[in-house]
Amino acid sequence: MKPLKYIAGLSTAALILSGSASATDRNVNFRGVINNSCSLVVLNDGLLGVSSDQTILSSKQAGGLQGRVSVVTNGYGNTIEVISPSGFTVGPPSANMNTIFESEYSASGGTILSNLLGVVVSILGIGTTTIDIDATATKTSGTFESGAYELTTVVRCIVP
Amino acid sequence: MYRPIKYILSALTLSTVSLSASAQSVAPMTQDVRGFNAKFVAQIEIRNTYDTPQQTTVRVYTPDWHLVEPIYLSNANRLLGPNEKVIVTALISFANQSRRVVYICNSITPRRGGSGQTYRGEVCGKVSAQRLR
Repeated sequence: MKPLKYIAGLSTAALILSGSASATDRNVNFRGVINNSCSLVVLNDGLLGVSSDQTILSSKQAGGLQGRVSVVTNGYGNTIEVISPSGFTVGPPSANMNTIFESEYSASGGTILSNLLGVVVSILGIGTTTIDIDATATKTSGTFESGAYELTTVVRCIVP
Repeated sequence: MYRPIKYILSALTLSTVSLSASAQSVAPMTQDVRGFNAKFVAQIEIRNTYDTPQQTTVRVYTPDWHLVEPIYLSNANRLLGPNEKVIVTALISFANQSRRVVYICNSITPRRGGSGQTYRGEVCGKVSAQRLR
């Protein structure tokens, strides 16, 4: 009786194994994630030129130079904005007195934009965008006195 | 017929890899997190995208740009080598809200020639947190 039982058991196991080996396909799944990212690289800082009446310090004045920033995005929904300086980081004591600050930007490459005020939030296309930025400080009364001046403009990449 | 497709797929794969490898200042730019208690944790990866060491500063802001004081913030100020990346972990209070949105911003102010004007690059990852009760 015992040998018969073993034979029956073995044949059942063989049937199950052969059946499962021939009738089963398994998928091997591969997953990957590329995070949405934004990269900013300041390519060059700018220069401030001075107006002949010494009431304007600006990259738009003679001797001035725009700043240039490169932005790389790999997904939709990223935006760019340029935040105007709130004051000079370097300057004589009277530098910020009666002075207003503005910024403008244009973009080329992955995104095309022209002469927008810094406060305007713009949607970025995928890829590399080059942004040229102007910064201006204007005296509403009086003039800029002699000395070294420096201001910082913030370029922000963000998903609103 | 098969080979060209294979080459195109390889090229696409390579371009995707190179894009993700070279273009991360902050990632991910958006994330949803959930928390069971009064705090939530968010993580972002920041990278110095310059070819010189740079001082990075990480700050947390509300959507209307008020500074948030996190309970814990790792690597808030860090000198990163060229193309070096680091994970920033923030533990933030829900501030008695069931949902809270914050921006975790990484900023670098490099010196790139010029004088009179500097530019601070700031990249902000958006974190939407939901409190589960």
